Amino acid sequence: MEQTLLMDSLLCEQLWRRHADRLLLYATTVLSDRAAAEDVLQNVFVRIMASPPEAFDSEAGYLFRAVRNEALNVIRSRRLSSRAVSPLFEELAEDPRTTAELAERGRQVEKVLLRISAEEREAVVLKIWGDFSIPEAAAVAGVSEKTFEHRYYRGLAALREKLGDLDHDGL
Amino acid sequence: MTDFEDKLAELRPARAPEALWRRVQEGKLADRRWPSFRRDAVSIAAAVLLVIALYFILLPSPDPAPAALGPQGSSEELLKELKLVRHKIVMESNRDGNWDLWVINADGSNPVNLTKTPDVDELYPKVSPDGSKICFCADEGKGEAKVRNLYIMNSDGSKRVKIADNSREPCWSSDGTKVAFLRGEFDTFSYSDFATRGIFTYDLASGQIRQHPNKKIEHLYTLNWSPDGKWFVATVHGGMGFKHGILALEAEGDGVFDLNLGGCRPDLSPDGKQIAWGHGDYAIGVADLDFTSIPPKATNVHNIVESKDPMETYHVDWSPDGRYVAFSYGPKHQGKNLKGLLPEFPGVEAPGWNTTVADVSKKNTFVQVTNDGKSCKEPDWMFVK
Repeated sequence: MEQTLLMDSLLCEQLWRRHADRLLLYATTVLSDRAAAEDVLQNVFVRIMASPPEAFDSEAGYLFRAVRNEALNVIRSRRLSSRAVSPLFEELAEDPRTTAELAERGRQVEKVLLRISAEEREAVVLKIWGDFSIPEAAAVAGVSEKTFEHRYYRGLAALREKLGDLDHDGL
Repeated sequence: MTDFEDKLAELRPARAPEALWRRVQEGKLADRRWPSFRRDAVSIAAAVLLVIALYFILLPSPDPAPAALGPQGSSEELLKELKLVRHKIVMESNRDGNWDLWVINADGSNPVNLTKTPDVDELYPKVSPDGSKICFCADEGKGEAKVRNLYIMNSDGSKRVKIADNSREPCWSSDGTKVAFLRGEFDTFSYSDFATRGIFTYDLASGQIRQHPNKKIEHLYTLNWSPDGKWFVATVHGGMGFKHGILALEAEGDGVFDLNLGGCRPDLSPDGKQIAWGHGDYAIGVADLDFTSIPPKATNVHNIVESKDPMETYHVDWSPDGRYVAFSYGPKHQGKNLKGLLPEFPGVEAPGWNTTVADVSKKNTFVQVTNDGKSCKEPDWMFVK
């Protein structure tokens, strides 16, 4: 029994290391509440440790769906506060020039991302940072591929309209 | 993926905190948050407290109020006044096709090219407190061999002497016997002014260079040295645990304190009692400085210049008598040239930027003292007896 628990813990840590950053980004953009998003991630992983799934079709797909369901439960029970969600993106790179460019780009993207509709935001986050194909992302979002594609390209167009070509970074 | 999607994908999600993973390992579900009616009650209570707090804040306070600036004056009047000022201004400009240091009168008249070196780009002049010498950066070499070095010369451009290789962002001690500067972070050349690691001081008498005791100093720019020699003030960008801000650093210790001023590129007044800085891209802020308390504090924050998009304000510098500030004033750059860099970086082209002077005692009273827009920036006042 002890051996099984140890294995589960290791598996869980591997899943955490591979997916936690983008799951947290996803949950934060769904909830617009970083603290609530952390709670969601905690609950999902605690449940996985307590009762690991027997098999994954796609571990990323499984985890994103689990996070989505838990986040929707939070929204339904109105357990949200209006805490700041920043920062959504890592701001430090290996050299200062890249750091500055990425930090500014991250701030701009975050600002606009949080202003577009929740459905479009979810589509963009799943496709770009969840690294899913359209069919996989549509399955996570629980909608048809056509609907997902429509949301994604509408969200992308809204971002591009506000962000331009993302070339200029002020310091 | 399109270019736009690629650029979005380059942003990495912020890291999930290790503390969160430890909570998962403990196997406990997250504490359920307060039900909404309790949150609403708390919100109402907070709103009531806020109203009460505002009532007291808005009552007359015994604390010093922000300095009362005089009414806005006219540019023409200021320009007439500047014709009578004996101090001069040194700046970087590429008006002759490459970067040189130019000295002008306070009203912009009588421009003189101090360097005249077609193969070297001289930048970022800092004049010694007595006005006799100028420390500056020189970008030398081409391509992979390009490097930014530090030099000192007489204020008439004579007797140029190199004091440090791969270094930048110098400032003078108040007695003019030392120069402090920042080392370049990389062996390869970078235009980014914050690509720095460590503070160093150069002793003019002995030629000795000494490193600051805090070896963790990194990514500073726009270095200043307080008149009493006890503090450095500089901008940090992504270093020492700070994202971006203006820091006070103990000159002989490890203390590093955020002055909590939004913006960058500070300049200390000649008496060290005030700080001016770029309060965002479109304003020059001024605040009182108190280095006697730990942490040091900046209070009485107010703007003396407020510009409008797209005209940016950067590189503020106090005049020797503390009555004026010079600054760089020019349009925000749009598009892809400028090597992907920003016009406020030393040695990066800034089309339409001019050296400008403001009256510190009046709100928004300033005048451009250069008008050719040939990247006239990084002004530094030169004391004249």
